[in-house]
Amino acid sequence: MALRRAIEAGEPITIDGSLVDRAGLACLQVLEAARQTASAAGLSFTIEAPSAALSDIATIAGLGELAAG
Amino acid sequence: MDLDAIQGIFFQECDEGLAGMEANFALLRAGDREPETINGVFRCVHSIKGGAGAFGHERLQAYTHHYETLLDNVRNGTLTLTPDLLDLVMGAFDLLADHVAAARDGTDVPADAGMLELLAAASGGAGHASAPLVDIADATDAPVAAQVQAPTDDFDDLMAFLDDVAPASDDIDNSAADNWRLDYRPTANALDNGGEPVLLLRELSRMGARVIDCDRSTLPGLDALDPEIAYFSWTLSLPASVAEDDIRAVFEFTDACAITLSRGEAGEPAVAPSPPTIAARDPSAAPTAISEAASPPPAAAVPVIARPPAAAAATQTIRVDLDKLDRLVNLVGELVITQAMLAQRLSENDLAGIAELTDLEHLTRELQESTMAIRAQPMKTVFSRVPRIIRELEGETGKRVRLDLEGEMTEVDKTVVERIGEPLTHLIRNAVDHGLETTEERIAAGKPAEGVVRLSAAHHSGRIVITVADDGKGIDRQRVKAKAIERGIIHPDATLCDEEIDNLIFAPGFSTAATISNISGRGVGMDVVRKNIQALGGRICIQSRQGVGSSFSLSLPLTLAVLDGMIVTIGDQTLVVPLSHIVESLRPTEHTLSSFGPQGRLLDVRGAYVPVLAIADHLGIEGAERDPSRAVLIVVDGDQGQMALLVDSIQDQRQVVVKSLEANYQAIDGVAGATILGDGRVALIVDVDALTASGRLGARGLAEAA
Repeated sequence: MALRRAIEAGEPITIDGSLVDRAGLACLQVLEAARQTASAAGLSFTIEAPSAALSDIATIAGLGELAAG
Repeated sequence: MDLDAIQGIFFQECDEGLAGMEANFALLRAGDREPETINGVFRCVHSIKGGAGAFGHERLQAYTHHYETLLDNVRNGTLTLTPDLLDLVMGAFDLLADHVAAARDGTDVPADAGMLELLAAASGGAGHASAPLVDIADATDAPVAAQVQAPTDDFDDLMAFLDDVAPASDDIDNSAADNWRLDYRPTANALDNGGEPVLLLRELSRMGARVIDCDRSTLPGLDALDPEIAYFSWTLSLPASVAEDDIRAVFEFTDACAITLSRGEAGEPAVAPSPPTIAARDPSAAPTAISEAASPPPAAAVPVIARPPAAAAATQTIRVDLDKLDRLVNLVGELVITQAMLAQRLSENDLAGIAELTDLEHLTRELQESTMAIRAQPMKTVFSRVPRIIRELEGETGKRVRLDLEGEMTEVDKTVVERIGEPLTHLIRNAVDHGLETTEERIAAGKPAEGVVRLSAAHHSGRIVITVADDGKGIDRQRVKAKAIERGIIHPDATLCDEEIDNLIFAPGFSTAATISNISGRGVGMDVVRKNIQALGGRICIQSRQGVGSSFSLSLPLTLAVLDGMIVTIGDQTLVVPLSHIVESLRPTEHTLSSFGPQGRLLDVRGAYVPVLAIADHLGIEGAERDPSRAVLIVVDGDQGQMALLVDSIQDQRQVVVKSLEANYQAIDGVAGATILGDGRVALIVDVDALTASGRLGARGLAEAA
């Protein structure tokens, strides 16, 4: 919800990914949807300092660019 | 179905897999070197590994991985299965069972560092010493760190390739055209069923899979996103050296997906190549690389051929909750009783001869038998645990033991199967520890160095007979007797026949082990064994010949739910005497009865004197016949010898449905249970063993008083 409001408000999105221990598909989908929505709105979307677990999962799922840091 | 339930099925399948492996080991040990046997073992380990990965049991997965590496080397012929290697493989199997148990119960993971080193050393013998050893050091020293770090390293590399595809295409693998192409599309509800797709992807990536494309086209915008629906689907490429069933096994525990697997799609030349650096550095890719080096075509072809029969067999069975089954059995029991009541009511109205009644009787009996057959299980479930016990005992005692199993498929009721395990384990421990001599003693006695323990099960006149026999030294009767006198169990002057001496080992507090080992010999054994067997309605008997061996036979009823009984009348009560105990019934004449003491009477049965016991006295039934010459005597064979039960008359002989008195009322000494008769009245089932024991005691008391 906070993400959606932020996108609607037109703020650039920066998510702190440094403390992620574990992420599932549901999480990746939300992030990916947020990224697409943000870029459709012309906003920047970055996940800052993704943890090893997060970038690992993203890479496995073929979404490496999502958490490329 | 939630994740726990699926995990429950996984562990059930683990247990079945482990039992199957045990059977294969028995074949291997017997010298069978069929490729299918070792393949069977490999497949079981592989399935466990797949499930362990899917459910996040990392230590189990790491362990099975190394185990699988070794097995793979054996199965593709890189390693020859020598007896020493087989011992290692079976030792590793025991640890695997511990690992599975630890993962299931959430207890501490067993210490596997030593075994992993042995496995690595054995696998290393195939010429791949360094790579697996490094993995193991990581996995054992800091397993979690290794798990997280190793893939990350790989994916940094992978990222480098993805960022810049050009260098990778310089490096096109010759077999690229053969690479697997896998389309994996989780169903929308995949997340509901606990089939987290990311875990499967992780599993695939350990095999060297790379994501070619992640299809995100179905993903709605953030506004419309339902977090519980899976939107993505993937196209992956896997190295050609990975076997098809390895890939399919990843998806074994989920059906919430659609996968298509095809080989050698040339349509993806830029991304299809498998960079050798990844294959080499990914720990999971190592075994497949080895198999490729040894014999590439069979590694992929053999498992694919072997797969279909296993899958076909799986569809033949369903899993049913045991509670449902018990309810069904109970209902059928009630139906049998109601049917008997109906028959009785009809016969009171002179309608007993109608054909429908006979049909109903046939149907109910058939229904009852079929229900009992559902509950029946082969003894295999119990026997499959025995080889491990023997191996452990071999390790503890230093004796060498060969186990012969017979009649594994003998079926018996589930309750019996469940409760026979512990007494049987005890008897086996006893046979190895006390029965068999040490190797030196055996050689000195001119016997083969390897002792034999034979375990057999067979149906015998409506009962199951399980025998544990050894070819050891037999029971040392002199020592048994001396010990019994020392422990005050028997009087020093007592003269006992061989059989009676043998039975002394069942006396509470008896043990002949010269030194108390931690296997057996604490004197809490055999009496408990006998008690457990009796609680199952069984009997135990010993045959022993000094120097040749001894054998313990357990005779058990096939089911505890129905019982063949003789319906007798005592006073105004109807009772049931279990048919299995009855030797004969007779009406005594004057000169076959002799008085003994003020109350005691003895019946002369063709020269042997059997004490007479009036059940009425014992159970406090009034108005019963006390004069044996006008009553019927039923000679029963109890645990403590024979005894003649005095009853008024015999009514009938029929099968009755046993109802537990303990569960519905309370335990009563001398009564084993109850049943409901056709007229709706409750009839008590006589506990012959308890009666003969107390009757003997009474007689002894009289003898001492006199």
